Amino acid sequence: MKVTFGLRLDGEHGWRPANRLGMPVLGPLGLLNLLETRLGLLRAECTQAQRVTQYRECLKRCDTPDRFYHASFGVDPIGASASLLSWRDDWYLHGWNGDLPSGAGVRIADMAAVECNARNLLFPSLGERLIQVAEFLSRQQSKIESVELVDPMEAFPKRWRDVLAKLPVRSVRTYGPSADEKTVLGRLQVALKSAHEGKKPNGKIAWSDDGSLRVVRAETCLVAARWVAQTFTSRQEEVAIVAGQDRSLLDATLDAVDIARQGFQDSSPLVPALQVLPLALATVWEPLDVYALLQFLSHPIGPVPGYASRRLAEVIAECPGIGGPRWREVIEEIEKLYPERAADLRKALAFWVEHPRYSPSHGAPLTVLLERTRGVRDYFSARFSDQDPIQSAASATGYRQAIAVSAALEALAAQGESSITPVELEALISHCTARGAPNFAMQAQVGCVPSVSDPGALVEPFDRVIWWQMGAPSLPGHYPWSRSERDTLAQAGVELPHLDEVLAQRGQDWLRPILNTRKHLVLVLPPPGEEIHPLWQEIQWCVDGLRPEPLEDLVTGRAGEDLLEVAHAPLPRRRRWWNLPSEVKISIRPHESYSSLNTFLNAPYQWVLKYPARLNPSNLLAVTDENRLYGNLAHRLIERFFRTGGAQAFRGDVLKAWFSQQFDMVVAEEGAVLLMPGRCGDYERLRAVLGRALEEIQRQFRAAGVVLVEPERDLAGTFPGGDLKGQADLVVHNKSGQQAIVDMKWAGANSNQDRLAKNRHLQLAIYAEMLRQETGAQPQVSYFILEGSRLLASDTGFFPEARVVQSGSSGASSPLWDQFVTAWKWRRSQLDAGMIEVAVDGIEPTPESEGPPGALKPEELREAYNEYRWLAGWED
Amino acid sequence: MAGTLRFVSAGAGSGKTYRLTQILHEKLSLGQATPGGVIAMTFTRKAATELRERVRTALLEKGEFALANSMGQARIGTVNSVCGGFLERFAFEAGLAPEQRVLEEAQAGALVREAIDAVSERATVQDLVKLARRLGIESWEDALKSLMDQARANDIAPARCATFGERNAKDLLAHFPAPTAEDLDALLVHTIEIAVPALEQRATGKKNTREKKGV
Repeated sequence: MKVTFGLRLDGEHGWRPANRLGMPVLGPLGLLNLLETRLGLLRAECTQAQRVTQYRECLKRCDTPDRFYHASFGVDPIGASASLLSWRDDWYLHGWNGDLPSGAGVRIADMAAVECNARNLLFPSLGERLIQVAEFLSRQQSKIESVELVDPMEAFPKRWRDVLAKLPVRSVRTYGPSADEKTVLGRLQVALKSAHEGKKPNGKIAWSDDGSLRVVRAETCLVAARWVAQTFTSRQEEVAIVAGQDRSLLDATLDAVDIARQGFQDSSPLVPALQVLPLALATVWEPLDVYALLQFLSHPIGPVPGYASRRLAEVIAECPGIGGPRWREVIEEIEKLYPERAADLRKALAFWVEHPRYSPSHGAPLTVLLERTRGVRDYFSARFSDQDPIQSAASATGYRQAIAVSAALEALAAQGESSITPVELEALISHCTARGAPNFAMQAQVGCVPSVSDPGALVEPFDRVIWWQMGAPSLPGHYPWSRSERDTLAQAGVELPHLDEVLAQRGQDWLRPILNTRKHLVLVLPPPGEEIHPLWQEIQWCVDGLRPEPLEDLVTGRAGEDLLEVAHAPLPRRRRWWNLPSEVKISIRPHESYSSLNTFLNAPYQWVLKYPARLNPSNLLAVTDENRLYGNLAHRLIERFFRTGGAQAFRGDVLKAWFSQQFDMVVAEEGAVLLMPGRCGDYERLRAVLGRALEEIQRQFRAAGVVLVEPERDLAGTFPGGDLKGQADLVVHNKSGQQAIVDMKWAGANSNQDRLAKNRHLQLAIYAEMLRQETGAQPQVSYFILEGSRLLASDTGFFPEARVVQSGSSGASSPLWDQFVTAWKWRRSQLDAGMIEVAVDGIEPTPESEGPPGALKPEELREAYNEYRWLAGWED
Repeated sequence: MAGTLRFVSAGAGSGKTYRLTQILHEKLSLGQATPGGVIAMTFTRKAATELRERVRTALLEKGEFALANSMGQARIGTVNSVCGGFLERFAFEAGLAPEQRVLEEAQAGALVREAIDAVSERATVQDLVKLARRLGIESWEDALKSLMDQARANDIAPARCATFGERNAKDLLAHFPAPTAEDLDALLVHTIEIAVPALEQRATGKKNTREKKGV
């Protein structure tokens, strides 16, 4: 076997595909695995998260108040363990053997003390595995015929050098100029090579566009990707790509123009399958994390059956909480739809949603967390056999994560722990998830070219090299140890390379794509404003007059013909009227409501999109909160109050006790977001406001001699457009048999006062008309503003203590009803003629926007609540 | 450089960064400073990027390729990134979690609210809600966070900060007369009763005058 070995070759493809049977190209993980296999040293795998857990135990056993890590370990045991484990592993890789060096300071002495435990408890690190491999190689043949190094020997850590010393290393690859030395590229290669060898530059190269070097830059990565895609196949050359940053965008663009995908996948810990377990575990804490539960239930992947989870997620978004009236209703509705699955659903909900929760300060039992983690594992394992390979791969990813978390939790349990705090659990999951997984829908395709993410992995010359997004690279960080600590470590055999050497080697690595280009080098710079690569600065210095070509010039055809012309397709312009084709008719709805009619009269285009077109925004986008939530909770509480027998007679402590108990219950069931950490102030503010509001309602009703209150009263009636339906917040009756409608609003005292004053209280007028049609008597109408505990009415006829709002007109509802009917007929005739008014700010009304005499004048609805404003068209 | 503190102060665009790169080049090429010993902090990422690029360019202009490459060791960045790096470097000495995250403004606000909840009794929050309503403060939590931010920015210790309340109250009350047992409500009502007819009379008089002038 002939092995090519380099430090940066794991997972890379910076060489030509060829028949390489018996000639593998390997990085450190690849070669270590090969050697361990050949030497019979393979062992069961251990994840890094398990190692962190094992090291945590080592640190814990040695932990005393005078240990240097004591305080940090107390704050973040998993994070501190991961951090110190990386120290230890680094030291081993560079030559440590775990002994306490002489003259060691506190930190190194503590680490050496911990090491006494780690030797027995910890799965070996790469460095320790290399020690073992080196020992075995001393007495056993590896059957490797030759090894070629693509990096200089001194670039390898000590433990690798020890192993390589026992292997037949035949050659070390070197890199030099490979382009014609008469070209700009050829001369640049010589200049850079010489500069990186420490020689002073010998003057500058005059720029001339001989085609060997091209540097481009676009305002956005997308334009750059389109250009690369367009020019990718224009020449019959051996091409290689260097793509470290924004590489998935380039691949998606190549895919879009039918060029083979390169498999540039950025791993992410947030791929859908990896979100399931963290969400399933985030809901175990007290108080309920409403946002996590919404995400858990609305996630397209998850153990709660899909036929129920989305509908329950809608309930959580609308009435955040578990077990409220809406929650129960929806479960019953689902069970009616799927009676054969009812028992399974109840079981799934009991396990995943309606389970006990635990105090974050005391921690959750490991047994409970293990049970849930295994539940997620089983869910994914049942989906391995999915016919769709993408779904199957996603399930495997979720399964592996669940297995890793289970193993880590089991390790903690084996160490005698019984519970874990949320901070520790989050850190543990994060370590088990690591860098996450790629997008499985974007695997490489046949026809892909050699490509690397690390420039140092491009180890062969190619005719053409494209360096995509040549931005600032990540540089090696400073060592976390003091100079004296590094000196002590050196005495203990730890050969940490000096940062200057590491940076110089990185500089050599960056040169490889430049030196390995035979004919055409293309450098695609990141958009202006983003930090550029240090090597680009060097190139710019070397080649006098070299400037990046703005790709936008190429796109607009001002330079070259590299890109296809894309026809300009403007977004639709804003117009005051939309016209339906004559064959399209919008029929009358089976029944109408106030909110539909209000939109119909004032914003016909919104009405058309919302009702006939059924174009509605998702109701899962956000958890209901603030004024809308407060209003909902107030309605629910007041409804409960008036449904409680004898509640109107409650006074003093009895009222307070009722309020206190019911308020807590309503919030827990439908406003649990207010129980989350940081919401205590909002909770108490709401409690105070509703307490005052309830007292004021009672006072007003007493003064009015109210004898009967009907909360959430269903109303029905007719109008020229057909049936009407609605629900009045409160319908009240006094001793004289008169009735009134009270509409409760959370806020908006001024706007509602204005509505009454201007005789535009359409909602109340419609409700009043429905009640009149039902009972034959015209009711009084009023608003109750909850936030200000204020009852507004146009006179004191029913509520003597109400704040009276003087109306400009008679104030009675009937004329308003007539105005409404006239306006409705006018709008309906427009719709029948196919005319739809786009009544939004910024488009001037036309004469057709004016209603007939006697019609309720349209009013502008608040733009903030217009969900369709971007569908009204765009300005030029 | 040891023991000296030099200020370079000038208007925008006048060449401060240029001067800084000159100083850096001078010190680095004479061996009076090493790249790993340079700390430069800016307020924005853009300024940090520009500074890094300009320092490198200046060194390349002098043909110092190796030194330009070594500048990767210099700590040049925003206040957040440089100080965040130090917090991580000295996390164990400071007893902090080794991994530090920079909070977004909204997250910081949410955490302050969580901290308030963690240290406040329910009754205290109820009192604060009542007090905020009386004083017309919409969000006392935001007011408190603003106070905390000011105290932190000015390095005011919590114990000293706590004394400010009493001092402020005294300063404010010094502008008011001494408390009285007199029924001020009744006095106010009485004064209004006297004032209203007088005002009405004056208003009527003016109206008459206007009407006469109009004629």
